[in-house]
Formats: sequence, C-alpha cells, structure tokens
Amino acid sequence: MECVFGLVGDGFALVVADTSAVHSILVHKSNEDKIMVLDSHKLLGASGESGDRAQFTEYVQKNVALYQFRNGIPLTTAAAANFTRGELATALRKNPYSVNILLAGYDKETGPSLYYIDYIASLHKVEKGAFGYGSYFSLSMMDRHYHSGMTVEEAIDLVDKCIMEIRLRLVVAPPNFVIKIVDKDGAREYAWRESVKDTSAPA
Amino acid sequence: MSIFEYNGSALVAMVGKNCFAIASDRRLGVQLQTIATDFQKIYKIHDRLFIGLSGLATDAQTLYQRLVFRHKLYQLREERDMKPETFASLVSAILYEKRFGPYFCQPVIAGLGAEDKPFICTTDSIGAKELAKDFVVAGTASESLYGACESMFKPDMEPEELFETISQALLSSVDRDCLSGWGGHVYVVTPTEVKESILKGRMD
Repeated sequence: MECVFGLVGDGFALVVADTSAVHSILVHKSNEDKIMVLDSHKLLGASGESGDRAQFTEYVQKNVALYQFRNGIPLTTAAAANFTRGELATALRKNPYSVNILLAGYDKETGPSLYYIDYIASLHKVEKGAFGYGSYFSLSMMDRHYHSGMTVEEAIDLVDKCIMEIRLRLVVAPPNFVIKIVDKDGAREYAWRESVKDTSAPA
Repeated sequence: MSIFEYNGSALVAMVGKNCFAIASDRRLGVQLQTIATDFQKIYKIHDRLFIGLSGLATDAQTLYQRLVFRHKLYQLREERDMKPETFASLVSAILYEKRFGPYFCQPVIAGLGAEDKPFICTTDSIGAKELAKDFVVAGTASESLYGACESMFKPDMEPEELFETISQALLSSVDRDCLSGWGGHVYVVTPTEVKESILKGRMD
C-alpha cells in the first residue's frame, strides 16, 4: 500500500514516498518516483490510483510552468496548493481524481511550508502529514519525535525511524523509499532507502 | 458512515446583550484518523458577520470561497457590507441551487444587524433556514450541544459571561463526541471589537 509522508524543518521541507508500482498482487517496479518536482522550489508527493497520479501531477506541473511563462514570476507554494485544490474540487463532482497530495515548497518571504490535500480536495497547511496505511505508523512516530525547527540531520533521522516502523509493522510494507528535500537552494532528490534493488536485464 | 461525519466538527453560536459569540472545535480528521488540530471552521465575512461551516471540509472550503466571492461583488456594487439577514438568504439560495447534488455542509451564521442587534441562524445542507433568538448548533456534536446550550443559556448575557457560557457548552459537548474536539476557537463580537480566543480542552 502506498506510503507518502512529509515534514517541515528549519528552512527546509521533506517529502518521502515509497517507490513501488503495484497492480493487485503484482509489483510492476520498485523504483517508481512518486514525488514530482513541480518547479525549482516545489515538490508534489502523490499517492493513489497510478493513472490519476501520473496524469494529475503532470497537469499541475505544466500549469505551474505556464503561469511562470505568462507572468514572469513563479507561483508561491500557497498559490500552487490552492490551484491544485481548485482543480481537484472542480473535478470532484464530475470526474474525480483519486490522488492524495503532499505539496512542499520553499518561498523566500515565508520559508518552507507543507500542504496536505486529500483526494476530495480538503486543503490544510501542516507541519507534518502522511497518507496511506503507512500514515498510521509515520504520523505516530512524528507525533512523538517531531519538534519545529529540526535540522536536516534530525529530520532524516526521524524519516528513517518512520521508514523502519513501516517496514516492521505494515503487512505489505513497500521495500524502497525515496526522500526529496526542498530548501532555499531548490528542490532535489536527497536519498533513497532501498532494501530491494531492481535487477537489470542480463546483457 | 455518513458523509457529514467524514471530517468531524462542532459549531455553536449564541446571542448576548448587544453581542454574539460563535465557537467551533479545531479538529480536522479523516474518519478515525486526526490530521490536524488547528483547522479553521469559522470565517469572517466582514467585521460584524461571521459564518461557521460544519460538515465535509472540502465543501466547507468551496462554499466559503463562493460566499466570499459573492460578498465582495456585493460590496463593489452596493458600496456597503451585507446585512446578516441578507447574507443568510444568500447562503440559503446558494445551497438550494445544488438541491440534487448538495454541498455536505451545515452553516452557522452570526452577525450584528441594524442597531447592533445580534442575529444568528443555521441552515441544513440544502438551505432551509432556522432562525433562533438564543442559540444555534451544528456538526457531529450537535445533539450534545443542544443539551449543553439549553441548560447553560441565559438571555441578555454580557460579553464576558457569554464567552464563559459558550466555551463551557462547547468543551463539554465535544468531549462526548470522538470526531470533534482538540480545543476550541471562540469569537465574541460586540459593536466595538472582536475578541478571538483559543480554548484548551481535552486534547483527544
């Protein structure tokens, strides 16, 4: 089951997602990137139906880019989050997307922020958030160990604790996770936590 | 499981002497899981008009955005703020527009009308207005709130006493409802000022 979680630290925000692409009982691949880099300083971690996830996050990414082309300045994280919520809300009573989203970003004026947007378009700015069955473990872990203004080292330590708890206690725990970070220097991949490596095809 | 009980909420508004108070809980949940403990359910339309929205959080957010939009248009055209009675009719009309595909919200409207007379009302999810002279309640904790308010309410309370009464009614009611709570958010509005307070109750 898909696990996405994230938290805000001192001048940065982290989003962590599992990397399994699953259909029923079959694992198609274990290195699927579910955290999209929206623009230079935004991350969009998504979980849910794989088709909706890919289509909707790409749609948001292209619209964020379009705004920047048209207006010459990038969207703020709050604006991007509200745009995303608006699209989900409009589609909700016509053709709903089954995608849960954690949107993390860094703005020069307001610093790091994390937005929780669930599949029925409820939006809330949070310090820590999580989706999926993994949330029962990662949220509790974060409730215990999180404090505001954590350093990157402390936050990664907490993320590792959450991943270990998910691997230990979730019956169909995903083997691999990707961690992405966004801070004043931009949005980028931070690390992978792999316990199963994809084998490459024989030459 | 009802769609109105998906996120969990508790709202109450009370009338005092030339003032009113409106209070809500602070929980945002997804069924049994709590997502946030600082979720806002009461919104200011203008200095003398507040609306609380209980029920499904996504619809509460959408409805609030639509209402603010309509009120801003009204302000541009009429060059004044909306009266609470007018706003209540607007809310009712917007909800009934979606009669066969409704917003899953129950609003609580509270405002100071002409001559600083307090006005409160609530509607159901399809816009049936219920005006009251004393108090109105909404949300998953509404049954407890009816009981608490009925026993604690007195007419013509001053702002300080009104604050105490509404706070106690809210906290004791949400303690009997697992889907609402995690503190309280109270606004006491008089003709001269708006006092906003956060209550600390049982954080569970």
